[in-house]
This record gives sequence, structure tokens and C-alpha cells, in this order.
Amino acid sequence: MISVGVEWVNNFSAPCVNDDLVNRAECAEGFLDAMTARGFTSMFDWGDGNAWETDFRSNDNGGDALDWSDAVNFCYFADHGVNGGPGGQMDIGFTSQHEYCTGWSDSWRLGISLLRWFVLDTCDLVLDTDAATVSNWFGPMQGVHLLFGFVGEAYDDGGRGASFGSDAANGAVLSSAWLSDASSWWEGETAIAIAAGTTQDDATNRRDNETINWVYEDLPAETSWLAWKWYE
Amino acid sequence: MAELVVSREYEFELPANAHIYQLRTPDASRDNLIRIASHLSIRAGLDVGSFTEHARWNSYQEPAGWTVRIFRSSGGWQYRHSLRWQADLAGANVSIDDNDAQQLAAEALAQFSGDIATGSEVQWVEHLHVNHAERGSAESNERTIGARVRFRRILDNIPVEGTGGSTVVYFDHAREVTGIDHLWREIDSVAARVTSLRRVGDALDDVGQRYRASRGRFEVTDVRFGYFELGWYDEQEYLQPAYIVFLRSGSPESKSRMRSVVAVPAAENHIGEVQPEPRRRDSQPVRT
Repeated sequence: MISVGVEWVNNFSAPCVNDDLVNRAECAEGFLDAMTARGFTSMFDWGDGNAWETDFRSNDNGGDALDWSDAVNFCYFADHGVNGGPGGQMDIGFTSQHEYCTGWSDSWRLGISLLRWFVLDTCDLVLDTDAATVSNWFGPMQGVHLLFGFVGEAYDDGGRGASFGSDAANGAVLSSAWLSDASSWWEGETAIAIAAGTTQDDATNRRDNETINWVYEDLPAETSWLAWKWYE
Repeated sequence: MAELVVSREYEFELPANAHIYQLRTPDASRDNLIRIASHLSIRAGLDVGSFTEHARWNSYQEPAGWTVRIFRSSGGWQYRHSLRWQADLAGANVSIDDNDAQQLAAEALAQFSGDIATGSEVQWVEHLHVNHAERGSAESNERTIGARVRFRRILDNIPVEGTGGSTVVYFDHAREVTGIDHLWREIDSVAARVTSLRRVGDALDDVGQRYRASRGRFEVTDVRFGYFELGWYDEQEYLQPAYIVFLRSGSPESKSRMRSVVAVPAAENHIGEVQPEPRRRDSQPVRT
């Protein structure tokens, strides 16, 4: 049985300043509804001030990921994201200062426990698709199978969560479903799926074939390969 | 309330033949699924493959791997090969330029009966890339393994914007079709002729209203005029002209940016809205 958790932020307030968004709840909860409609288990749905960066920060970095983002198999996060920190670190915004207004990817150990698939429905999962840029995710991906997001800026569209959730729940190949469902079809939006693996074949096989039925496969925290795909 | 920044003026003339169309009720029945499959050269039947009834779609899968799925809310359908669609097969690295891809897509559609994508233009061509990397190495292993071509529906010489109003043809490394997505609602009748267009400024006021409960600064980066067709899972009763407003968030104190698109009615005599507002949510109890 797949467990699912979602977090989203539409409305920001001081001291955590950001422009508000409109469709983040629609995306995250659309995904959750589609998964639960198939009988999968909803573990949490935290929105706006209830979404906390500590839910993603690893416990050994002082966070609480083992009780939240890494206590579910599939986590969907919809919000602002920005990439550009040293070494390609990604930041995601929160409106609640618990403990910080920003979560940063260098503090994550995604998949150290139960997390298999993580959607960052934000801008800037990566800024480019070359090996040097995408390799920045070797650090945070510590057992998570697949990461889904966008290259550069994304659109605050509402429908992709429900579409992706429906396809994922019904056994679609996850990377292909994301590339299809995440496209808003407006120009200049590039969806990307990044898979981890112990070998090159393992990573490419996961990228090309993994469905939610692969939930029981364990990956070590230090995987040696990443494989990704995108349209351009 | 959010600040909406409009840095240039937009003006559109009423096209000669703009209409408000009543759309046909989508038919996602098994009979229609069989009819579409037959257009795609698939003989669908229980003696050959299997039907699946889902709350949101009906689908048929035949043993060779082709699946046809028709969506209940929109009537749109997807024809995909379960093993070859967007798959990286045989370590391919293909070079299909945009012109080649367009021609291949047009030829592919012409092979199928049923007038798929008649009355359309190529909107764009995209190429499917893969790459992989070993930890500690920045060596790039990028390859191109396929392409997709999006045809945009044209009606009354007016483009149809949105997720709908499109046909997408997918190819693999061997230049063979691996999928077709067709989201193209059928017209039932003319509900009204468009008599005049609303002022774009009034439409932008509507956009401001949509952001009335939001904070921040949103710059209008473009406004387009077209019919507006919704997505796979959306019910839509009318197809009518819209102003499609492209926005980009960007207040000076915010380090994040995000784009968005809002479609609002363009016809003075519009019927209802063209894009539903996001569902309003009750505030969650404060988490402790």
C-alpha cells in the first residue's frame, strides 16, 4: 500500500516574503485526491502556514523529515522554488517560520527511510540538463527513486497534480506520466524526471520503467548513478 | 490585493467569424472507444484485448501493447504504445529536425481515418532527451530518443489556446508513431455569434479580481486572443473567445518567480466563464 503526503503554499506573509500563488493547493490536493481515490493512504496534507521546512530537513540536520516527508512513499510539494545557491542548491519557500522561511536541498536526505518518489512542483528543480548541473542532486537523493520537477521557471497551473496522480495510481511509468501530465503546453516549460540507481543500467531502467509497483525496492543512501529525461 | 503591472497596451479586433459554440456532450462509451480504435487501425473487442472502466476514463488495451483511453469529462483520447511511448529503446540517438518531425506527424495523421486534427497548425516540435551521469563525473551522455509534434486547433481562423484544442503525435528513434493525444472537443451548434469584444482593460480587471485575495506583484507579459479549451479532466459546455493573459510574479523583495496563465472571456456576449477559478479552500486548523 502506497502512502502519500502533500504540502503546498499559496499565501505568504511576513516575515516570509514571497509573491502569492493561486494553484498550488489545487495541484497538491489534486494529486492526493487521485491517489486516495485508488485506495492509497493519505498521511498528511499541510497547506500554507502548516507547511514547514522541518518536514523536509533531515533529522541529523535538526529537521523532522523522518516523521513527515520521509515517512511516506510519495510526497508532492507545490510552491515557489529557486535554484542558484552555491553548488546548485535548491531553496523552497514557506510562509511559516518553522524554523526557517526557506528549506534548502543541502539539508535533505530524501529517501533515507520510506520516501520513494518526490515531486517538487515548483520552479527550478534544476537550471540546466547537463550532467554537472543535475549531479547536484546526488547529495539530497539518498534512497529516493525518482525526483520530478521543472528545468527553470514553471507555470502555476492547477491541473497537473490530478493528472499525474491518476496516471501514477493506475500504474503508468512514472517518468513518462510526469513528462506528459506536467506539461501545461505553454511555451517554455520543461518538465524533467531524475532517477537514481546503483548502476547505470539500474538508473536508466528506473527512469524508463518504474511504476508505483516498485515501492518495495530499496536503494542505498549513496547511489552512484543518476539518469534523467526531458523534452526540449 | 495583488499589484497587476501592465507595461504595454493590448488591443484586438473582432475577427470576421467569431462564435460561441455549444459543445457536444462527451461520449466516452465503449462503442465510441471501439469506433476511435477502428480509426486507429485497431480492431477492439473482448476476443482480442481487454476493456477497463475507470471513474475518469474508459480504455482498451490490445495484446501488441497499444492502448486507447477516452476521458469521460472531455471526450479527449490518448493512443499510446505501452512499451514504446517515450521509451529509451536500443540506445538510440536520433536526429529528427523540426521539419522532418512535422512532415512525419502530418503523414502519420493522414494514415488514420476520422479526420484527426483537420483544421490545425503546427504549434511546436519538441525532442525527447535522455542523459545519465556517474557520481563524481561531469561527463555528459546526452542522447535524443524521440520527438513530439503539437498541432493546435484553428477555428474560424482563430487559434485555440489552452491544454485542449490540440493533437500531439509522438515518435520514437525509428521515426515510428508511439502515441497520439487528441483533446479536441466536438462542436454541437452555434450558440451565438460574437457581436463585439470586451475591452482588454476590463478583462485585465477580471484577472485582478482573481488575484484579489493574493499579495504580490504580477507583471502581464503577454495577452493573446483565441478560443480557449480546457484539459483532459475538465467539463466544458461552450467554446468561446478568450483573452489569455500571461503573468509573471516578481515583487522586488521576493527571490522566487513563477509564471501563470489566466483566461477570461473576450466576447461581450460571453456565456459564463472560460476557465474555472481554483476551488476556494477552508483554512486548515493551525498545526501544533
